Amino acid sequence: MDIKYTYHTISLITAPKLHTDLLWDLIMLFVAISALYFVAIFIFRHFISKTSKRTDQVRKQLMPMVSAFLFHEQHAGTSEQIDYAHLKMEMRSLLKNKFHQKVLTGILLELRLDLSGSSLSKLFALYQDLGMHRFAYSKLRSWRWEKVSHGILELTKMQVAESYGFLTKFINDKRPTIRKQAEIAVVTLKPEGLDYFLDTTRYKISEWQQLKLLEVIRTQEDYLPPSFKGWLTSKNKYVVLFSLRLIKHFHQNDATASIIELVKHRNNQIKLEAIDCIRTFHMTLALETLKTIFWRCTAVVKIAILQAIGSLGTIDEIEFLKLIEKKEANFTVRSKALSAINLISPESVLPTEGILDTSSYKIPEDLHPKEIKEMPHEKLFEEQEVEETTTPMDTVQSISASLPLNDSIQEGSAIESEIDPEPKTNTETPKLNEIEVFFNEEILDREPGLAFERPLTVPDKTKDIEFTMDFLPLVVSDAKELISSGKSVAELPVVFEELKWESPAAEDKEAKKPFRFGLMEEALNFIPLVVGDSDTEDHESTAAKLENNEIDKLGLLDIDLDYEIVRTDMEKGIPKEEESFLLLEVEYEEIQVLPEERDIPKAITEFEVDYENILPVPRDMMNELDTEAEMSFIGETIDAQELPPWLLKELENVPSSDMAPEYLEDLEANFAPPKSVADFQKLLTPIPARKIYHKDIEAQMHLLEDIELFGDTREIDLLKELHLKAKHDIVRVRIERLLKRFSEPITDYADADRDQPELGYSLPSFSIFSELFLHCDTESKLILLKEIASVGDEKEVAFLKKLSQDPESQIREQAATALLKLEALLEDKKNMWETKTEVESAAINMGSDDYEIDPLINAIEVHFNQSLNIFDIGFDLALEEETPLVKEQKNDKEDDQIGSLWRSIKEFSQKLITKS
Amino acid sequence: MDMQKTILLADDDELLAALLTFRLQKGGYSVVWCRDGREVKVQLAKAMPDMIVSDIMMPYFSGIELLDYVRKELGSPTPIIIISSAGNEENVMSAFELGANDFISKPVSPAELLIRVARELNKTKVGY
Repeated sequence: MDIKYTYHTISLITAPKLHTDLLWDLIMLFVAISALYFVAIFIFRHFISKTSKRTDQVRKQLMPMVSAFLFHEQHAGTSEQIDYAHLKMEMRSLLKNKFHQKVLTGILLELRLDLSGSSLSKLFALYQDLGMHRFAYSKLRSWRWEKVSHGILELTKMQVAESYGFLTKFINDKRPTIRKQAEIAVVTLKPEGLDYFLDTTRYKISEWQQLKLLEVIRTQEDYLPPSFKGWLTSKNKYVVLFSLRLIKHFHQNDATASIIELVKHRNNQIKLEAIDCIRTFHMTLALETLKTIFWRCTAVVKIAILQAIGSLGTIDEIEFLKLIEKKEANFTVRSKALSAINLISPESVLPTEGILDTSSYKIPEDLHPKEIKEMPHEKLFEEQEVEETTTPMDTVQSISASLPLNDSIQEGSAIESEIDPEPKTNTETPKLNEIEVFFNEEILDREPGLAFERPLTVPDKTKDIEFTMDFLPLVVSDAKELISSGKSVAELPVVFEELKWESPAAEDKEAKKPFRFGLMEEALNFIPLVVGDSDTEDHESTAAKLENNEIDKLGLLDIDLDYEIVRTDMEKGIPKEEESFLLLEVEYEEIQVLPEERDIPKAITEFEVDYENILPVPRDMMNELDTEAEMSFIGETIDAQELPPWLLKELENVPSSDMAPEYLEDLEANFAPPKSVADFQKLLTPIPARKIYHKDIEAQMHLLEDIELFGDTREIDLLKELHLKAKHDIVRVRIERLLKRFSEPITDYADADRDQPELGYSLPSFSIFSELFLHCDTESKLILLKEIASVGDEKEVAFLKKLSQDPESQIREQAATALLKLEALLEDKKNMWETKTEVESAAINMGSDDYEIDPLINAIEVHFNQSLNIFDIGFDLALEEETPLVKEQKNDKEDDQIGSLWRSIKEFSQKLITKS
Repeated sequence: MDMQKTILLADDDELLAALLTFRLQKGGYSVVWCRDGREVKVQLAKAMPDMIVSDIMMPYFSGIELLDYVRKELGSPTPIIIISSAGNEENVMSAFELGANDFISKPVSPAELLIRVARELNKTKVGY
C-alpha cells in the first residue's frame, strides 16, 4: 500500500515525513474538541442566562412578597391580614424549592445593605420567620469549605444570634477561611463572643483579621469592652498582641505591670506593641526595664525604646542616652538617642554636621560703630540678619546665657545687642546710682506719689549692691529716635516705677483702708492665736510681741488682726482697758488647759473650760457685728423671741428654786444651782455651763447622753430597767425625761413630711412601716397592714390612725382592722409588763438593805384586761396537735421525773448500805 | 378630594426601587419607576411628576445631571429628593447647590423617605 505524504520529495530538502491521514485525524480531533468547547460554552451560557432569567422571574415574584412582609402592619384590616396569611403560605410553598431559597436569601442579603431603621430589623425578623436560617445551618454541615463559609456569613449578616453556639465550633477549624469567618461571626453576634474567641483560639490572628475584628467591635452599639489585661497572659502570642492593641485602643491603663513585663517578650512585635502602650499610657515605671533590655534588642525595637525614653524620661536618662550615642554602632539608633536627649532637655545637643568653624572670624575694622548708627534702620536690620546666619556658636551661647528667660525681655535684650556694636563694653552692669531715672507722666496720672523726676538717690543700704539691669525691659517710645540719638544703654532714659515697701513698724494710717491686697480685715478675724504657754506673758505682751517680731519677720504690710481674749483663772484680776485692745486692734482667743490635766490625754469634750470670765467685747467691735442676735449673746440680756424653740422648751422645763430637786445639792460646790428662770437666763450663753458629776454617775450620764442622741422608742425598755436600777436622783430624773420624750409620738420631725405627696397626708416617721408605705403599691400596703398587727407595737398605733385618712377604702378598712388587733395586743403586753416589772422591782429591792415586805406584797397585783369578756370567744376550740418538739420536751420531762424517782430510791438504798 | 400625587423614582437598584415603590404606593402615592437617566428624560417629557426621588449614581444620566436638567432646562420647581450613599458629601453639596430640596442617605429607611416626601409635598402645597 502506498503511503500518502503531505508533500513531495524535493531534493536537498529533508523534512520529517508525516502521514497525511494522521494529520486529518488530528484536524478532526481538534475540530471536535473545539466544537465541544463551543457547545459547552453555549450550554453553560444558556444555562447561566436561563438561570439568570429564572432568578429574575423568581425575584420579581418574591420581591413584592418581601415588600409586603416588610411593610405589613399588624393593625391592618381583616382583608389585608388574610392576604398576608395567604402570602405567607405561598412563600412557604415556594421556599420548598432550593432555587427559590437561594434567590430569597440573595434578596434578603442585598436588601440588608440598602435598608436601615425599623425596616432592617423587620428584614432580620423575616429571615428567621421564613426559616431561612435553617437552610444556612444545613450549609454548615457541608464538606465544601466555601459552602460552610457562605453559611456562616449568611448567619452573621442576618444577625441570627441563636447560631452563636454552632459557630463557636468553627473558631479552631483547620480551614483558615472558615476559621476567620467564624471569628468575625462570633464577635459580631454576641458581645461575649470576643472573650470566647480570645480564650479559645489556638491559631494565628492575622493583622488583617485583627483590623476586621476591631472594626466589628468598634461599630457595635453599646459595646462594653472587657478588661483585656486578662489575655496578656495567654499562651497564644497573637492573642497577647491583639490584646495589647485592644488595651491601647480602649485606653485600659490598668495593666502596667503586665505591659512592662511584656517588654521582655522574645517576640519583637509584642515588644514593640508593649513599648507603644508604655508611651501611650506614660508608664514611667517602665524606664528601668526599657534601659535593661535595650542592649539586646533589634534596631527597630531600640528606636522604639529611645522614643519612649525621649517622651517619658527625665534628666537622669541623659547619661544612658549619651552612652548609647557613644557605644551604639547603628547610626539610626545613635541619631535617635541624640533626639531623645533633645526631647528630654531641649537644645542640649546642637547640630554639628556642616557647621563652619567661625572662631577665627573677626569683625572688619573698617566697619566703625558710628557708621552703623548713621545707617538707616532697615539697612541695619538687614545686615544683622546676615550676620545672624554666620554668628559663631560661642557668641550665641554667651548671648543666650546673658539673656533672661522671659520672651519680652529677650526681645528687649536682643534689641540692645543689635543696637550696640560693642557688646563687651556695654554689657557691664551699671550701678544703680549711676543711672539717671525720670518718671513718665502717664504713670504720674495714676500714682503721683510713687514716681519722681530727679536723679535717683539710692538708699544707704543699697550702696554696695550692684544691680543687674538685664531683667528690666527697655521702654522706648520710638526705636528710630533711640537709634538716631546714638546713646549707649547706660545713657538711655529709663522709666522706673517705684513700689513703696512699708515697714510694719511705720504705723502707716493707710493701713486702715478696707482693702489691702484684696483681703478684707474681716477675712482674718477667724484666725485664733493659740499660745502654748500662757503663764509667761500677758495678752498685751503677746500681742506686742506678735506685732513687733512675727509680723516684722514676715514682712507683711500692716494687716489688722482681730483677736478675742478669753481669760483664764490665772489671769483673773488683771483687768485691761478696752482702749488697749483697740490700740492693738487685735482680738484673739486663748484656750488654756488646766495645769493638772495637761499630761492626761482627754477628749475635747472632757476639758473643763471656765467660760464665766469672758470679757465683754468692746463697744466698737460690737458695732461691727452684723446681727442683733449676735449682740444679744454678747450682751447681758437675752430676748426670748430670738432664742431657738428647743432652748425655750428647755427653759420652761427648768424647775424654779422652790421646786429645785435635792439632787442639785449633791453637785460640787462650784456649781451654783439656779434659783429662778432669770438666773438660768443669765447663765445662758451659747456654751452650756459645766456640770461635774461623781464618777459612778458620770458613766450612767454618758450612757443616757448617748441614748438621748441616738436612741428612739426602742430604748424605752432599757430606760425603764435603768430607772429601776438607778440610785441617784439626777440619773432618775434624766431617765424620766428621756422616757417622757421617747413615749411622746414624734410627729414634728423635720423629715416627717418629706416625699409624701402621693399619700396626701403625712405619716409618722418613727414607724418603720411609714417608710415602706411611701414607696409601695396598694397590694403591698395591704400585705404590710396584715403584718402590722403581729409585728408592730405602740409606734404603729399613730401610724395606723393616720392611715384612716387614706383615699383608698381598702387600705382604710385594713388599717382599722389592724389597729383594733394591735391595740388589743398592746393592752395585753402592757398588763404583762406591769406585772413583770413590779415583781422584778420587788426582787431588786429584796437585795437592798431597806427591804420591806409590805410594799412587795402590795406590788404583786394581777391586772386583768378590762376589755376581755369571758363570753366573747374569739377563737374556735380545737384539739391542739403536739409538735414533735413539744412531744420531745414532754418525754424529757417524764424521763426526768422517772429518773429522779429512781435516783432517790437508789440514793436511799445506798444510804442504808452505808449506815449499815 | 386631593388627587393622588405622582412620584418619579429614579434608581438603578431594582430591589431597592421595588421596595420603595411598594412603600410609597402603600403611602398613597402613584409611583413611576425609571431605571436610568434616559428613562427619566422620556418620562419627564411625557408629564412632570409632583415629586422626583432620584439616586445620585445612575447609568447614562446621574442624579446631579437630572437636577440640572429639571431646574435649568425644564425650569421646573418640582421638589427633588436625592438618595446618596453615605460619605458622598461632595455630590450632596453640589446637589443642594443645584436646587435639591432634600437628601436621604443610603441605607435608606423607607419610613423616613415617606416622611420626607410628605413634608416636601406639603411645602409645595402651602407654597413655601
